[in-house]
Amino acid sequence: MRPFLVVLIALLMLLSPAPFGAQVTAPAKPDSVRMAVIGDMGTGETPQYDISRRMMEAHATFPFDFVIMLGDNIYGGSTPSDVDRKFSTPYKPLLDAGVKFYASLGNHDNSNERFYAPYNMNGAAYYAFKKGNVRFFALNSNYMDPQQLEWLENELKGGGDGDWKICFFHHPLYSSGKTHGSSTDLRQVLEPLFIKYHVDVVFAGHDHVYERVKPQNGIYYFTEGASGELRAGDLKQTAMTAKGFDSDNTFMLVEFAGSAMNFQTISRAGQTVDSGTIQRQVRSSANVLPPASSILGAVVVRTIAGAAR
Amino acid sequence: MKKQGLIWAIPLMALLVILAETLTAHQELSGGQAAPETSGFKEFADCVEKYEKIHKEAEKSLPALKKRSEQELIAAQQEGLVNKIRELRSDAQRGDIFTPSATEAIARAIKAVFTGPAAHRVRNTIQAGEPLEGFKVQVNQRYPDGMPRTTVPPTLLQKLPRLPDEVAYRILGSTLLLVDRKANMIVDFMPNAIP
Repeated sequence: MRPFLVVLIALLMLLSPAPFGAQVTAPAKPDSVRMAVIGDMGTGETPQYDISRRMMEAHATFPFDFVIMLGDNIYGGSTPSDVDRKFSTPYKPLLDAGVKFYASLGNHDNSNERFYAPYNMNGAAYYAFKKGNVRFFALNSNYMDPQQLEWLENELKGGGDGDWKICFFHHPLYSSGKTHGSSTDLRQVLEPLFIKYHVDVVFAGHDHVYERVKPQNGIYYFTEGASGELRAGDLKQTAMTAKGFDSDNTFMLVEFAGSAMNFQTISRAGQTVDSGTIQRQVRSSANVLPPASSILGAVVVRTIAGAAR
Repeated sequence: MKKQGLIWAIPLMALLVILAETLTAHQELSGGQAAPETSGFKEFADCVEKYEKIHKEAEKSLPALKKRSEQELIAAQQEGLVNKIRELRSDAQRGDIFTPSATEAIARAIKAVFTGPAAHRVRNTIQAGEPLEGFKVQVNQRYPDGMPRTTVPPTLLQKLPRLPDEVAYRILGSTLLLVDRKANMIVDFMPNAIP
């Protein structure tokens, strides 16, 4: 083989992402609800494409049915060619495999994205849907007006005691990100509803890092804002961080099986940076306010690797 | 008898003051209600309603956007809407909707938020927005596509008049904008609204 060919092949191997290194830890039980979580991904750049390839690799062993998107789905322009480059093309293998995407809007998104069929928002900036025993509430944190809060309260009231309640939106209520950090005014209006109606887990983006926050008033908060964008070194050392990772892009795999939620966070390099199980407590009534110090569940962290903070 | 009445009146008045203060504090903590009706808000609501009619008329003249559409149609609809609204509001000027009386009432509501207990977190929310430099605000101008938006603090939204789905408030520096959501276009604006 000619020397330049050897160099070329070596170079190509170096440039292409490593083969899938992370073993999917979630059991992928037959009747479970399985999803992936991505946030702040719509750049159309290499890291977004690398993460989408990792997602497809994970899908082979952990066939998730849908993906929730935490906003900033399309950065910059949103012309048809932008949408192709920043959404349809990177996620084509997943879309072709029948995986559905459910979007929420970030501060970089054109609000007309709510009409875009593959985002499954059906023209609404905020909406709810149910998968198995899991109820999802996609919120528009750019514009939390009284009408949306009234809608949310009505939606949260419904459902059975056995259902998980999962909220997802763009701006994090708790975050150790240096650039943005916690959205405290949003927290002021949302957190009382989350507590009152027993929301279990909240996913947000905006800060371009991964963070799992220690339960706040019994609610688990995840920030996944690094599925395309990345702000390396942007996590502060704070007491509320249960696990943080800010040195590579990431996405999450999540499985709901009965009263357990398994999660795994995987980096662009294929490394598992966080994983664990959240156990949900059975509720006696949807309208009983828990004491501020109560913790509804406990997280069991199985694997932690990578540049932890 | 007169003296006895006075003895009762003082604690009664004190009780009323405490009750009024508690009620105000409770409204603040529980997210509060829309600011009280004033003639300024009423005028603003009437002007918004007129705009809503224009928006609907413009939308009627275009191919309907379905709840699940392709990006080509969405982009074409937005473009068409911008052009049609500009045509229908060719003589629109700043202050058509934020009239002097509406401006006064809204400024009062904003000032109350910025001098109240939520001031710090409301200001933080606005300051956390990514600034949009080199953009001159004008009526009937499109908000630049792809440019980030500053979150309108929820506490502030609770004090401003409610809006129909067609329009929304947006903040740009110290300016309060009224934008057409689908057209992503500036309908009117209020300079120096944010202290």
